[in-house]
Amino acid sequence: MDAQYKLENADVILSLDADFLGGIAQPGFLPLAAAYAARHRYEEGQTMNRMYAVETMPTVTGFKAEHRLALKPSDLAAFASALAAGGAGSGSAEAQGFAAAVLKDLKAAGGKCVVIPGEQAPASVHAAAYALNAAMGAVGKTVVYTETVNPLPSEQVADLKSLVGDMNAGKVQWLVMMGVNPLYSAPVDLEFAAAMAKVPTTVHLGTHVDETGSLSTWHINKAHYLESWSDARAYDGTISIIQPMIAPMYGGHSAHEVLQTLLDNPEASAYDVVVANAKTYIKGDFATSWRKALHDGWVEGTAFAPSSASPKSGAAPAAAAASSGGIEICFKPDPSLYDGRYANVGWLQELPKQVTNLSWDNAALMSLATAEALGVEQSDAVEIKVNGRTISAGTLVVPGHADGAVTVHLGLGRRVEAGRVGGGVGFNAYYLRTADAPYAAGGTVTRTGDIYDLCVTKVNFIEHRGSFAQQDLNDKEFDKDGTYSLPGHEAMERAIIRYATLEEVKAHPDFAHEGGPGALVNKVGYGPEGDTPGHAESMFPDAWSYDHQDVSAQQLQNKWGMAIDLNSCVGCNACIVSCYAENNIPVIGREQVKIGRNMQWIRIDTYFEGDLHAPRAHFQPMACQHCENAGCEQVCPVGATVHTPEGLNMMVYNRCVGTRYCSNNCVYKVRRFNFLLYSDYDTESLKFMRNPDVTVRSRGVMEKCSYCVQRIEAVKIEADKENRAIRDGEIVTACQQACPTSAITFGNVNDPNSAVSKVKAKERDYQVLADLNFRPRTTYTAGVINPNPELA
Amino acid sequence: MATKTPLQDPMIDPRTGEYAVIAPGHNFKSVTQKIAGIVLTSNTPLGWFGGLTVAGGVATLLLVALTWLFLKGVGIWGVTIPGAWGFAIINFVWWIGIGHAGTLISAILLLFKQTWRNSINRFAEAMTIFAVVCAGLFPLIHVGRPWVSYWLFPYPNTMNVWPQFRSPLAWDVFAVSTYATISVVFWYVGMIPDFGTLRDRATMPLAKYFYGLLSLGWRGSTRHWIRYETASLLLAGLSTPLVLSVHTVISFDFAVAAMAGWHTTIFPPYFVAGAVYSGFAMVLTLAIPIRKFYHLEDLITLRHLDNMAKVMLATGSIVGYGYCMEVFMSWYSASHWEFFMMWNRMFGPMGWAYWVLILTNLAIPLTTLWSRKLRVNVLYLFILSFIVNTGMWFERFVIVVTSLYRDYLPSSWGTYRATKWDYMTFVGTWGLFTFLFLLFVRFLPMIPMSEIRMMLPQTKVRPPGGSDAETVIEETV
Repeated sequence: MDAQYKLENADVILSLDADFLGGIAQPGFLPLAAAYAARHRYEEGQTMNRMYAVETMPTVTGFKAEHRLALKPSDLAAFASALAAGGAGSGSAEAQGFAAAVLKDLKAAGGKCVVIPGEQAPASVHAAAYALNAAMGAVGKTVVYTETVNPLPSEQVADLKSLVGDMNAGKVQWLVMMGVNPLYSAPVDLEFAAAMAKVPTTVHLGTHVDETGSLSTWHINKAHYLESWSDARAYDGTISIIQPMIAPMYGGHSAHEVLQTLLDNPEASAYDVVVANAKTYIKGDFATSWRKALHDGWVEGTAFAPSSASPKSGAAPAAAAASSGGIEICFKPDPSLYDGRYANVGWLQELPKQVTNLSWDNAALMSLATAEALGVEQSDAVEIKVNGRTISAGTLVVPGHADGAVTVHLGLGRRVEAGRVGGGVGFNAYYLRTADAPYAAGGTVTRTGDIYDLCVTKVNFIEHRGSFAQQDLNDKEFDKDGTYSLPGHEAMERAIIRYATLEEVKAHPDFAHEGGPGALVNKVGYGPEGDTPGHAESMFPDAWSYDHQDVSAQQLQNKWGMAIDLNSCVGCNACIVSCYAENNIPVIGREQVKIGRNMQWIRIDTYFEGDLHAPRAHFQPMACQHCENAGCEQVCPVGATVHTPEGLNMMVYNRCVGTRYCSNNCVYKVRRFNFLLYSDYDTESLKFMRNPDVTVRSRGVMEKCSYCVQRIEAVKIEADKENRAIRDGEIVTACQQACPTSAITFGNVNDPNSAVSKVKAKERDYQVLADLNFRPRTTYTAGVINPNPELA
Repeated sequence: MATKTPLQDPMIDPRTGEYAVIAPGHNFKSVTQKIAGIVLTSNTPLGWFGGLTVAGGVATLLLVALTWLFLKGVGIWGVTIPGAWGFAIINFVWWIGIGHAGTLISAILLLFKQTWRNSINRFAEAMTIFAVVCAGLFPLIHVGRPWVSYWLFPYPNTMNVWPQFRSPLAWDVFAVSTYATISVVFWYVGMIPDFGTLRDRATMPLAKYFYGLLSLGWRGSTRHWIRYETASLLLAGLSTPLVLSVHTVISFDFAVAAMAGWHTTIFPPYFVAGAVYSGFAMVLTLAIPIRKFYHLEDLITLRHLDNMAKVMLATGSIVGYGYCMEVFMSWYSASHWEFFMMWNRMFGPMGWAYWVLILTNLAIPLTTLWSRKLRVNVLYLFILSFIVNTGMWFERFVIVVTSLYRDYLPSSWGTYRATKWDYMTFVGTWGLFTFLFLLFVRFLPMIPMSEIRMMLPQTKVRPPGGSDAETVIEETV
């Protein structure tokens, strides 16, 4: 039985360790994120939703929540159970107050509320969520139960255990492993490797000769899913037909073909199998419906119908209890690499992980208080011991992590067999994970005395109260014991992040602008700097005039601009990855990232506001702002970065000599430099990967976001051919396309009816670092949060 | 040394109480013999060979570092984002600053008729040129694609593309190339009479040929002298604005940018003063060992050292005023950016660099140089010259690094850590500088014979029995 959540109907959301905005760990997260963001917008005639999150490891979901409670796994399970029982439980005063407020708010929502349990949360939490949803009358409104997408639901761990038992008993003659890597990811106490050695013939089907493949009798080269016909079911049951995008590059075989061979039908191709299967679920005229399904990408009407099934009762095992006095070790899939299957993808290894900004590493993630209790500091090497097994890891302090627990991310520490990118990166947390305690286990963490220098793209500079900020901090509600993040504090002081509560924004719609009557100057401390200086205040002539009509073409002059809604941005990193793919951004490796040379054209700036024990985090996508008064353009000695008549700030790669002056003078620090020859020109397979419309940059040149100029030009050419103006929405930048929450809008600012103009016309629209008068073309819509007054 | 009382010390003029510019007892012949002897001797001191070997060895580091740099790219250095400039720019500004003392001595002091400069101007100018050689290297190698760094020069080309003249880096190209050209010409023109002397005194045919070629047919006629003096004055007039303009333009690299800590109007005067300050320190660094090694205490006297220390005191005070004004303005401007920058510069993770700078550039020199006793203490001045140049290097480090690594958007804050290649390149330029300088003291007259001769009492009195060519000078000056 699966739960389908309808967040579009939910006024109040409670996440019990569910990271449904961050993605990867939560099936079906994309529609959830989109629906959440749609309801989180502050718009006329819409009730803004409110989210509560209870979690161990801080996630983007937790930080998007208005209220967040950090609990270690055992406390979290107890909290959920107590909540389901209608009481506040026996937790800390903070947890009890939180529980009381949440319960009250959930009840007040009248069924328009939902409780979402995390995929990695223990069964008791799922049971509690089920009970709460039922009690609050949410079933049918915001949550719908359907049959599960798994055709043969079973206790998978128990199945695996019995398989290993059979293997050890010599009952298994043939073991066929398809697309799995049990030698890497199976619970360590099952000793899968030893069991596999007792099987006479093992067959592994995989895209790589990985840990399992290298020890199997036979390894079959698997075709990538984009190289073969196949079909799949989405989380809601909808069937998709997978079409190959390319012939198998390395002569791989799909699972369909292998299975057909095993069924003594080696002649059957994957296509035959998929079509034969499709005939069972495609209704009506097959030829027409098949073509339609291929065109649409899914088969209509195949989603599950709501069922009235109820979960098995009494089966919920108790959550793994923490050993007394120890630390709870929490296992989470890596936010970028998931369970390790994507470990050989350079983009994902290099992608700064959500919240932590770790790149090319995993770490022992813990709170400030836990680190202090353990006597460790950032980058100290620690030894994590669970059930007699130990691994060594670097320490990373994560603001807002639950005390008394340490989170480790699975998916790294792959052996060299993983490939030339993923092998040997980080440590393998699976080594601590047993079949009985797959998500959390009691253990000990001790300092080894060594230093493990972690690769973090943005350092949080956790600083104790310094003399500089003393006077400001005394006025603030945060900084309970003198610990704050200097960058986070500065981001607020500098009005880089602007947000207000729902009540404040109603009273002062213009809160995001200094000087206005309702400006919340004191709240976020905008500082003495003014807003953008008006043009009349400048001695210089306006360098660019975009507002004229292009008489020859009888068209509106294009004036490209972007608006980013900070309310919608959930910090999921999808924009970064799509930018990698679109713009041929090189992967530069751990050592280069560590010293600050990461090449991403767009990044998610994460700021921690307030006391680092319970901070509020803000996410801000930051790419080239395409300033009208661009500092970079003025200082380039060879004119390699110039302005187009449409207002794009362009890099001319083959004119760049690489003085890097432009980067120094960029106040947003969005320019990226090829300090070495980062692009791989030689690897054959990478040539397929590259976007032919975008230059592959060589050593010694600067690069940066171009607003996807290749896409703009492509659309312009099409429009010219059809002798028409460019339609609004026709140009979609890569980041915009990938954004699950539609936080990014792009278009012609000269057109008052364009989507981007409408967003920019909002009162909450503001420029980052406006007082410097660079006049950025990208503007941000200030965030609005909807806190519960009882918890404020 | 200063241990003698003024009346006992023959180096002290009893009327003024000042040290003499030239020790008493010198005449045309003795001066010429002493200076030309260093160049024309066939007994090259062993120490010179030792020094050249060491300097050449250190310069080899530069060669290795540059080879690796050209093979791999500037990524071998510590530069990163946000600190996209590092050692290369720091060293560039430092070296070019050092050069300024030579130009000041040879041009401005000539126009002001400060005759004491005559003993030191030649090697100060040589120092300028070698410092500009070291400095000029850095802008070329610090770019990402050094093979196209000539695009910074305005040259006609088929692409019809010119440099972007609004960029201070384009101004640098003109400033530094003009500076290098004028300095070399001035230096060379000044040496022509001396080349004539060397040609006449040389015994080895190769030396005779070599110096004869360089002397451009100098015969010491009145006409030659008149033209020579006119050319010197003209070149001095051309160089004088350069003393002020070159470092002003280089300060624009920072002042024109938008970074807090760079964007400040005080930079041009304070850069120029700092340049002269560090340049005089370098002259001391070079003059003190050379006068000892070649026994030139009678030509480079304590008077020179004292005067140079006074110039350092004056320029150092201007620099100190600049530091105070920077701090004051960051508070008085009420700009959060300025305030944060200064706070971070002083107390941030790299605050130590700021305090090293204050200690070495301000605290030590400006408290001690008021003492005449210390100003004529050769050992103290020698040590102080190193302290000041350390301070001036840290000044550029503080300006370049601490303004960049924590700028406007806190998300992009980073740090700067130089690599071994940075250090090798920097140390290698010391080797190159010393190597060139050692070649200079061996093969070229390091003290201008003609100008020293002019200062001798002999020029004032017509010797009996005929007119010497040199005595005409007195009238033409």
